[in-house]
This record gives sequence, structure tokens and C-alpha cells, in this order.
Amino acid sequence: MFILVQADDYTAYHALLGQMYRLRKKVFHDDLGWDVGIRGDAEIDSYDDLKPAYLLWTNDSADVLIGSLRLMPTMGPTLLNDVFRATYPDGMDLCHPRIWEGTRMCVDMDRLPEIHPGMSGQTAMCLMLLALGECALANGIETLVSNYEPHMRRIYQKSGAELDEIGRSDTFGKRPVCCGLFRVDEEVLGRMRKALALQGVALTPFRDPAPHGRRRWMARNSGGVMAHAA
Amino acid sequence: MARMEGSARLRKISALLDDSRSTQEIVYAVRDEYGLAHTVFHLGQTAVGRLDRPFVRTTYPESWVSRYLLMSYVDIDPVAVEGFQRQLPFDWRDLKVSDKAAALMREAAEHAIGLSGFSVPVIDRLARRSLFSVTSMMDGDAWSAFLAGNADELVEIASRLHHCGLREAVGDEASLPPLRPREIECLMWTARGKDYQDIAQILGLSGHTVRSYLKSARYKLNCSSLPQAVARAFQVKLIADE
Repeated sequence: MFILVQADDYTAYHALLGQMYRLRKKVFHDDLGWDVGIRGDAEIDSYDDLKPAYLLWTNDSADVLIGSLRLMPTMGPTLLNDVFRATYPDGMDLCHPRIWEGTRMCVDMDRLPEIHPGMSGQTAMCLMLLALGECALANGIETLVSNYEPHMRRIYQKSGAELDEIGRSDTFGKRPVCCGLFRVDEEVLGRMRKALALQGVALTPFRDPAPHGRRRWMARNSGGVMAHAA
Repeated sequence: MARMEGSARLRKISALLDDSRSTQEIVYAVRDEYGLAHTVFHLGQTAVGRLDRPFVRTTYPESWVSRYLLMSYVDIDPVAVEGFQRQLPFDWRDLKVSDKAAALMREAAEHAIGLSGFSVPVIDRLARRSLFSVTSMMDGDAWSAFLAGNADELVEIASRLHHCGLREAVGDEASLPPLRPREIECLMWTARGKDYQDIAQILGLSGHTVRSYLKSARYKLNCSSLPQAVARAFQVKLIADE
């Protein structure tokens, strides 16, 4: 299940957010070797202090985190704008209410097989990208600025995404990091839904039970969840 | 291109935002143009904390504003409390309403504040936040339909009101970031009569990316339309005639 958590819900999702910070440390600090700020066993930086929105991917009972990403408006301070402005004087610095930034996108590859048996890591990343797109579309966002590893570009494009690479940085860690502009509209998302459906993966939007139900997306993959539902 | 220009009423509000220095005038104009019950602009926080004196401009009746201030309702009003926490625009139907807040909402109803509401949080590069809210006597499906058609324009207005309010409240003229080379390049080609598809071909980018650069350029120049942004770019010598 995908849940969008904003600052007014941080307390309610305290435990999942804790899992998120620890997962980010494991992925970005331990595995990718990025120069990121560590607070104890958690990776938290100054952008997290600005009350960003997080998209959390959890199991059906919403107590185990599978993946997460951070969503911020480009009108405010954002990581990629700051990094690319510092690294490249000619780099981009987008600023518009309908252009948002998605960063720290990661999947817990150790947890993935228990929750979605048979789903590959690459499919999981494409599913997260689709969930980000769905969430953006539902909130009036037209464009996403996001970072990814060079080899993911072709994989995202094969999954129906439309992106232009507008920057590349070697300052993150061991491997270069690309910065891309992703188009968000019905046409692109339609292509992504179809491409993922061919791999047996689907996202279904629903609302939490009233009152004040939040919009969420249920993830299904025919490998594991069918058996789970039976 | 028509989409970037928005509706006739958005153009009217934008023209006002270009000329007017009065946030109060804009909140009234938005209410009247969009047929709303009320509008409120609330500059809530600076980078370090709340403003000493909150800057609020609203069409709410004086009686409700006095009551609101007297009772310190800003601390329990779910719109203000959640609005300054959130980053994404929200329909008031999505608010969590405590018992205290429910009493406040009932009292607001007695002042004919409206049956429905929609709020747009705005943040700028110095992490200063504002909140622009509108209310309506519509509810249910009629309100949903109104938002489906107008939310995008209200978001656009909110982001420009933020700068209008800052200018009035703290005399800030320089809160928008400078344009980057790609944005200037796209403006220059626009000035030479190219549309975004031509520019995409020239620069080897997708049409969507070129539109994103142009939107960002327009926003940074605080302009409501692309032709206006081009004119402004000439004026401040970002681009020049060949």
C-alpha cells in the first residue's frame, strides 16, 4: 500500500517514518556510499526539517515499510536544485508551484520478497515511480524533478515513463547520479500502468474509511498477493 | 499555449497582481471573480518562526475576525494548524476536526463563513510560508466540480499572492531566485517567435521539458503570461535583440 504522509500526520505515522530514516541510511549511506547526514542509525538531512511530504510503501497492514521517497515543492528549498546549482553554474534551478521534486527514492530489497514474492528490484523501483506519478497527478503536479542512477533511465523509459536528463553529478558517492524531468499526465501514467500490468503489477486507488479518509494506493502483484488474498 | 494563459478571470487577477501593491484588493477581487464566499491570505511563518504580528488579509466579516483574534482561534483552527504543516493544496473535507475545532467550525457557520473550503500552502526559497484559503456556499458535488475546474488557477494565484503579501508585509522585493541559462535560452527563442515544439527541437529536449523551463522562467519573473515574461526579460536585459 502507498500512503502519502504530510507533516500533520507525522505523529500518526511515527513508526513508519522511523523505519524510513533507517532504510535511507542503509541504502544511501551504507550501500551507495553517499555523503549524507547521519543521526544515530537514521539518515536525516536539513530538507527533512522543512516538513516535506513522504510517500511510503508498506505492507497491507501498514506496519512494515518496503520503500519510501520524499516530495517537495520547487518553490521552496530543494535538494536537487541546491546540489546542481552548487555543482554546475549552468545547471538547472526550476521553481514553479506545479513542478515538484522527488528524492531519496528507495526500496528495501531485503523486505521486498516477503511482502511481494517474485517482484524484481527493478520492477519495484518502476512501481514506486508510478506511485509517485499517481500521487503527483492526484495533487495537480505536472512535472517531477527526480534523481536516479544512470542505468535506471532505460528501465524507467521501458516502463513507459517520459523523462529528459537535465543534469548529472559525481558528487554524491561512488557512482554518478542523474537528474531527470518526468512528465506527469494521464497519457504517460496510462503507458506506465500498462507496462507494469504486463509484469503482473497493478496499483488501485482507494480512500481510507471516512471520516477524512486519505487517498491511498493498493499495490498488487499476481505472484504474491493473489495467494495472499486466497 | 492557451493553457498557460488560463481563464479570463485568472488573467484579470494576474493583471491586478502585476499592478497592485494591495493584498487586500486582490483577496476581494479573487472572491468576486470566482464567485466565492470568502478568501483569506495568511502569511504565517518566516524562516525563523512566526511573524511578530501575523499578516492576514481577508474578506471575512469584521465580527468574525475580531472573535477569531480574541479567542486565539489560530491555535485550534484546523485550517491554520494543518495548513502550515502541509505542503500540498487541500480540500477542507480532508481535515481532521477535533471537538474544539468542531465548535469553532459551528461558530464560523453562524458568521456565514461558508460551507466548504480549499487551502493552498506556499513556501519560498527562504522557507517562509503562507496559506491562501477560499470558502464557498457550495458543497458536495457542486463544490467538487468547482475545484476540478478551478483548483489549478487558485494554486497559481496563491503562489503569486505570497510574493505580493511579502512585499507588503516585509518590503521584500527579492525573494524569487535568478533565472538559469536554460530558462533564459528558452525565453530567447520564444522572443524570436518559436513555440515550445520548435525550441524542443533546437535544444534537443522534449516539449514537456521546454514548457517546464518556460513555466519556471515565468514564475521567477513573477509574470502571469509568457509574452509578459518575454517583455520583462528584455526590460531587465536578460535577453537582447539579435
